[in-house]
Amino acid sequence: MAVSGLPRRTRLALLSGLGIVLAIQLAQTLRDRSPWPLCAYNMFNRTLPLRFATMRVRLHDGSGAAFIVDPGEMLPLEFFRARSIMQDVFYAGNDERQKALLAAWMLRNLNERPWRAFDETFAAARPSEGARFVKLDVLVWGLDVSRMTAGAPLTPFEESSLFTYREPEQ
Amino acid sequence: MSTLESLLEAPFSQPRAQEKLARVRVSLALVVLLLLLLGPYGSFNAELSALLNMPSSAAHGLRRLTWLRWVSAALAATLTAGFRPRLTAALLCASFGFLNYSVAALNELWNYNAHLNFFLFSLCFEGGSGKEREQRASFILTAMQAYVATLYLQAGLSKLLFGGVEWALSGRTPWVYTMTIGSAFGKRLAAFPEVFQALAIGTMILELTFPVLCLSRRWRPRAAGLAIAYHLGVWALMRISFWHLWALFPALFWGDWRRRAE
Repeated sequence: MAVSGLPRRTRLALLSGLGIVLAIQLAQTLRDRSPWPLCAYNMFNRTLPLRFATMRVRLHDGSGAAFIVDPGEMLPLEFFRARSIMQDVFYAGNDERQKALLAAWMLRNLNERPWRAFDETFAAARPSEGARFVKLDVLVWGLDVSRMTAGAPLTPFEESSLFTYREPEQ
Repeated sequence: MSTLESLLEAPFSQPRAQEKLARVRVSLALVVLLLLLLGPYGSFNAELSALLNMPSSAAHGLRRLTWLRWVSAALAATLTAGFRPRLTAALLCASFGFLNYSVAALNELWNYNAHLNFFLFSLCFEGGSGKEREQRASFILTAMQAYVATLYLQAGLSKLLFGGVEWALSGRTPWVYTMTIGSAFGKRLAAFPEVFQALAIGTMILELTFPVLCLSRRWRPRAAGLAIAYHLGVWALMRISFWHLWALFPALFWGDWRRRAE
């Protein structure tokens, strides 16, 4: 049974290793990057401007109702990851086939295997009772902070459509 | 004892380290288990990877996500029970790490539970016997506490560097996010923007001072308590809990209370 404990050299090595790892981690914050498995912990770090653009999705169901939802309600992932993926595909991307495939897949999931909320994963958007989603519009909304009022629904000062997809007729 | 010797001694001499580490291990295993059972590790990811034309290595992992998820859950349950903890922690570190890598690779965005990978990796340093075992346990606890302290420092620095002092003084960012994704309570409270200015200022102060408070054995558990209260407040307003971090704080930071009471 060891009585003397960890040698001084071992303790120094462990502490040095820990220091290096944490220093590398801290450096990611200065770079504002998060290469796995490191994390910059830069969530919500920007001061939002008074006017900013945000993505929204307008879902239409078979009863004629339309719903404006957050991209986080379109994919069974953490809301920030869902938003990021949709921005990559529909805003930054120019692969029309990929957009159509993703849109079709999202509608199919919302209709056939909706998911529940957990932690930072939002619950799936839901259609009207007895209906199914048949169309989606991926939108960019311009929001003005000075026009946002607590208790009132968000209203954009401008709206543009990035992509529209309609389910094929059955 | 010289300052250097004190610095070399303190991280390896936390009181009742093995006992405390056992509680941390159980907390960590339960957190990981819950995430695996309820989190975003379903078959959706494999299908999505094909749609997003992902790099083959990560996509490969996602196609195996389903069985890897259940293997990891079994390992997490085994770790909770304390069976062969070092081996189980190493295996879980690898499998859960690969799961997290695969999900993060969907679009190269961070994993907000990156600390879990570090904590599981730290558990691999357990071992030895007698005084060495106690010292190793103490070092693991120190490493985890230091990671948490660095985490808050990073969060505060990031806001300061990229959001500026205006981030805190305007409170605009937490206010807008509450208006867009917040709870019903948060959206009602948004009628008072000054509350969010106070919240933003408090956030930055807490994040930047947390590491300093952690240097004091007396203030460390109090800092953890403040952090838990902070996260619960953010949860109440913005529906963002970060539970998988602060759920570990009672075991990681509060074990010293019993010693102080004696």
